[in-house]
Amino acid sequence: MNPVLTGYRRPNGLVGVRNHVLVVPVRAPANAAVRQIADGEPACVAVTHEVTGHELADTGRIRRTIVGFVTNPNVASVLFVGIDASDVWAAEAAAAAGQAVEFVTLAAHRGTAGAVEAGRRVVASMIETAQSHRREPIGWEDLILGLECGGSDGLSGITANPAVGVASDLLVAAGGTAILGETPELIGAEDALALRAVSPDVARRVLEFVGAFETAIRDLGIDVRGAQPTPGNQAGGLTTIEEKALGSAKKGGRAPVVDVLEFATRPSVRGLNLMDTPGHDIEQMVGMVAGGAQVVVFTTGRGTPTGSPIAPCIKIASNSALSARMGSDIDMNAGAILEGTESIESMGARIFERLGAVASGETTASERGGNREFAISRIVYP
Amino acid sequence: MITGYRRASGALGARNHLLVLPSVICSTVVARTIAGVDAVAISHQHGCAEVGDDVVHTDDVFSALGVHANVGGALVVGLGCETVQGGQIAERIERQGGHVAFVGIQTTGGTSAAVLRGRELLAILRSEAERTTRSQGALDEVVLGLDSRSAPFAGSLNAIVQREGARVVLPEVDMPPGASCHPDLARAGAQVIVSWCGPGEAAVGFAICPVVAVAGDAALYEAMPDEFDLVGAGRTDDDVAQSVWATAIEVFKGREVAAERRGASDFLLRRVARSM
Repeated sequence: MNPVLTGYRRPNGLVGVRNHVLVVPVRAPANAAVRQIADGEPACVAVTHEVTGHELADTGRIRRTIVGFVTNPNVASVLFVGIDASDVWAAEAAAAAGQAVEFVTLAAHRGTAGAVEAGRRVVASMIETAQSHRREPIGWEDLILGLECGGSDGLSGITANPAVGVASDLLVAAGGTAILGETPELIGAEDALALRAVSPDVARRVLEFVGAFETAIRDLGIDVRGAQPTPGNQAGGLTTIEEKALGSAKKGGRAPVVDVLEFATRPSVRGLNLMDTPGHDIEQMVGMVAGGAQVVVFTTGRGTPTGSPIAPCIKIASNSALSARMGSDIDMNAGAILEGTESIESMGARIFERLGAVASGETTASERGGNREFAISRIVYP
Repeated sequence: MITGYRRASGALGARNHLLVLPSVICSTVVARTIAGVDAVAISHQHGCAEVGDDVVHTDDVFSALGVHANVGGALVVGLGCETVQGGQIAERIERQGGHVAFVGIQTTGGTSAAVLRGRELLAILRSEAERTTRSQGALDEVVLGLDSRSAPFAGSLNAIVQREGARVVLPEVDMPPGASCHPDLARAGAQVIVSWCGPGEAAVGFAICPVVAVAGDAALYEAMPDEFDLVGAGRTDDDVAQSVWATAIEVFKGREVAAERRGASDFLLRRVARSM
């Protein structure tokens, strides 16, 4: 066990486990500028996206996601790059949440080249400030852990997911918070989760949000087979969405369900929270991180390099063959449970221990690999 | 006369891109790492957890872009478990006569192995693509994609272009205008995109085609003229259309557009439904 859990205490009271300087476009025409500002500057992380400002009904969800993401306490400071002054809303919202933020526009600097020059100066100063921040002792109660699975196989629900469930229970018992999401992968597991709700109101909301997703799918008039389970899930032995769901929900352990969260919103109660997210690995991870998760555990049976731009992601293989084949993308091997060298409980304890070490600064495979995928979830098109 | 890259299909390309195409967001980082500086890697957030028409559309767009006239060779980078399977896209591109190679992250043994294998494959594609050099073409081979049906100069541009025997393609009536329909316009044959930027709007670049950005906001154009290729505000529609056509011809001869100069190789994909 890591003797002291450490992190960065932010002026707004939140606690981060990383100390990133982040550059984000407000709208897609600023993507090129954002990339160039961060190019060749390893202490700075850039994300780009497909938001044009014409998303109409999805605008609120998109803005909540962007603001939640940049105000995650793993971010020491953020530079927004906009087209013109109309994009200032993002910087204003982040500042209102207590984040250190700067804003440059293409229009104020005669375009991309000028904005890149100005942005690089801002970032240099942000990096200097961030480097003066020091890790301090923190507690488990300061941590929010995102629970995720991606590229699952028939063993995910037998090895890696139950072991993550044990780790999640240990975190909750220590006063921390975990978020279980992936709504399409909860279809079939909602009754069991509702029974674990701390109140009839929470139980009702568990059934409601899972049911609403099912209805939304039905209203689209489409067959989810092919999307859930995915071709890779099926090749890995998962036959139905219900089978995938019952395995997926095991990441939430046995702890009581304390609350149900809208996508990309912060938990207000410590303990196991459910969040209404898509199953899409990256959209989901962005939603959890926008909801304040500082660390993510991610189980996989088929193997995926996925990481987050700002949150360490602990990748856990469901089987030893995968761990051997894609070793540099994997942090831990829950396949040991099948071989009998670990039990679900001992594996879970090791995941919990690794969580502490990673929070305190140990890097993960996806951090070393530079995996910083980013996607913004939408609901209503066009 | 114009010049361009003559493809086996007979089509004329305005560019000779080496394309690194991830079939899913999960392979975008590997794709970008493989591409380095002299190939075009697309970054996008799609390819998995899609349903219905989105699956068909994403698959169709990716498969079409691999054989686009502006593409001299395409390396498809798959993950392995994704909805839109990279291997199948590569097969479709090959069946259509494209120069294509494929690397899958899961089957190759993870990120590092896939990057090494991808670079080897890309080097082979590059040496093939470099054999195609600029040759003569005719004006009637030009297809312009205009990304907004409501651009004020749309009618004039169509008239001018048709007089030359060339073509303008527009988004379908039910498509939202703007950068998210650029892949659809490219799929419809456009080698050059014309982007109409309304009030407060700047242009998004496009990985496959040069984008001629027309500023409809005079103040924004004044503030950052280098972001646009020409200004549309305060001029007659005929005048703007003439300028657009003249610029497009120059672009075919090799002139860089503003988006290319600033290194904007974006890829926004039109979707019709939420991710699962």
